[in-house]
Amino acid sequence: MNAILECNNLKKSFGTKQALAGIDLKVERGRIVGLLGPNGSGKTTLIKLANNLLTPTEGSILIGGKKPGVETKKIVSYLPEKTYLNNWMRVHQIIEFFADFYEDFRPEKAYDMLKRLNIDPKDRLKNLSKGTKEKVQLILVMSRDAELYLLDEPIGGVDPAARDYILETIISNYSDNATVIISTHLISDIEKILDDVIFIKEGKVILSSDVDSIRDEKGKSVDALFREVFKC
Amino acid sequence: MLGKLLKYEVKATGRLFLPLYLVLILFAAVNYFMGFGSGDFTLSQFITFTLYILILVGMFVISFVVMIQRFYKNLLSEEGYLSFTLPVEPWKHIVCKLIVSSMWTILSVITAIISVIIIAMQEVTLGEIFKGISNVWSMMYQEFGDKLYMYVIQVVAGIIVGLATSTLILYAAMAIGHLSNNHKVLASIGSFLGLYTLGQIIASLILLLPLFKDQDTHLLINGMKFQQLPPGFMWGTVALSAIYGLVYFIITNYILNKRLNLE
Repeated sequence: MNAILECNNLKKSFGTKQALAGIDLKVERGRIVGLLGPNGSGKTTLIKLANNLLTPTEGSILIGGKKPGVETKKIVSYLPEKTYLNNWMRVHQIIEFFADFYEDFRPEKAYDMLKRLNIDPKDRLKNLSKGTKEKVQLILVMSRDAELYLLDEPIGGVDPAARDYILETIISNYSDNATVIISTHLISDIEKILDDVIFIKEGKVILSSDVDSIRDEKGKSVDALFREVFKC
Repeated sequence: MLGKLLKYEVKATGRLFLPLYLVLILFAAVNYFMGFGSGDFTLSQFITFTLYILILVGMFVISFVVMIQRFYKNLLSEEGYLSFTLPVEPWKHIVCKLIVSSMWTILSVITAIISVIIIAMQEVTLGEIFKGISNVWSMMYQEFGDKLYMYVIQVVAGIIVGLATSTLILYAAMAIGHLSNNHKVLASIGSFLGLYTLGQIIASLILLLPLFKDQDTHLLINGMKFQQLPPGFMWGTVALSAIYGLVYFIITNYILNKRLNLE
C-alpha cells in the first residue's frame, strides 16, 4: 500500500515570508497522527496544501499518490479551523448537502451523533453557538468514510465534556485503513489516542516518530517532550 | 456536479428573490385596484405608487448586491473552505454563480415588465398592449425589412453576452482583490476600475480605428445612422464583449485554482 500522505521538499512562501521550508514526510495508512507545533509553525499551511486550498511554491504533496485535486477531495475529509457553515441552511439541510456531494457520506451516522450531542436537526445554522457550530462541522467531517481525515484544531473551541465525546467519535468512526491527522497544541488531551506524532517548527519537521518509541526510548510523555523541544 | 451546484445556488438565492417578485406583483396589483392613473391622484395612490417604485428599484439593487455577495461570501470568505473542498473543479463554481445570477437578473426584468403591464391595464386592455407592440414591430419591419430579424438576434445576443461579461468583470475584480493581504475590498474596487478602463481603451482602438480609416471622419463626429455602420459592426461588438468575458473568466479561474489564499 502506498502512503496516504507524502511530501517531498514541500515549500510554501507568502510573499517574502516562508511558511514551509522544505517538508519531507510520509504518513502511512491506518494511523492516528498528531501534527504538533506552536502557533505559526506551519500546521495549517500544510493541511491547506493537502486540500488544494493553497498551491506549493516548490516541491510536491501527494494524497494516495495523487496531486491534490477533485480526485483527492473525494477521499479527504477536512475540518478547517474556521467556521464555514452558511447562515441560510438548517442542520438537516447541510447534512443533505454533504450527502449530495460526497459519495462516502453516511447521513445515519450524522443524525446519530447529533442526537448524542443534543443538536436539533431542524435548527438553523446561523442560530447555533460557536461551540455547537464546531460540533456540527466535526460531525459532518467524521460522518464520511474517508481515507484521510485532516482535522485542524478540532477540539479548540468546545467544552471538555464534548471534547471527550469528540475524541471517542474520532477513534470509533474511522476504519482500519483510514488515517487521521490531528493538528493541535492541546497535546495532553489527545495524547492517549495518538499512534504517531509529527513535530513541526518554523516550517520544518523536527521529529516524526511513533508514540510508543517516544515513551520507551525517551521515557517521556509526548506532552513533556513537546514542552522540552519547543521551550521558549 | 454542476447540476448539484446549480441546485444549491438557486436554493440559496431563490429564498430572497421569489418573495421579492411576489411583493412586486402584489404592489402592482394594489396600484391597479387603487385606480392609479385614472385621473385624480389621491394621497393613498401616491403612497402605494411610491412604494411600488421603491420595491422595483430595490429589486435591481438586490440583484446586483446578491451577485457580488454570493461570489465573495461563498468562494472567497470562510464559506470557501467548504466550497473548495467539495470534489468539484473551481471553474464549475464560477459558471454556476454566473448562470444563476444572470437568471435572476433576467427574471427580475421579466417580473418588472409584468408589473408595469398590470398597472397599465388600468388604462388600456391587455389586447391593446399587444396591438401596440405589434404596431411597433410592423413599423420597424417597414424600416428595416428582413434585416430586422437579424437585428433582433444581434440585440438579444448582445444583451446575454453583455450580461455575462459585466458579471465576469466583477468576479475577476474580486478575485484579483483577494490577492491583496490587507485591503481586499479596496483592491477589488481598484481592480475593477483598472480592468474597466483597460477594456474601454482597447475597445475604442479596435472598434473605432476601422471607422476612421474607411469612412469620412465627419460621419463619426456628426453621428451615423444605424444602417450606415460597416457590415459586421454589431457582431464585432458582441464578439469583442465575449472575448472580454472569456479573459475575465480565465483570470478568475486561474486565481481560484492557483492563487487561492483563504483567510
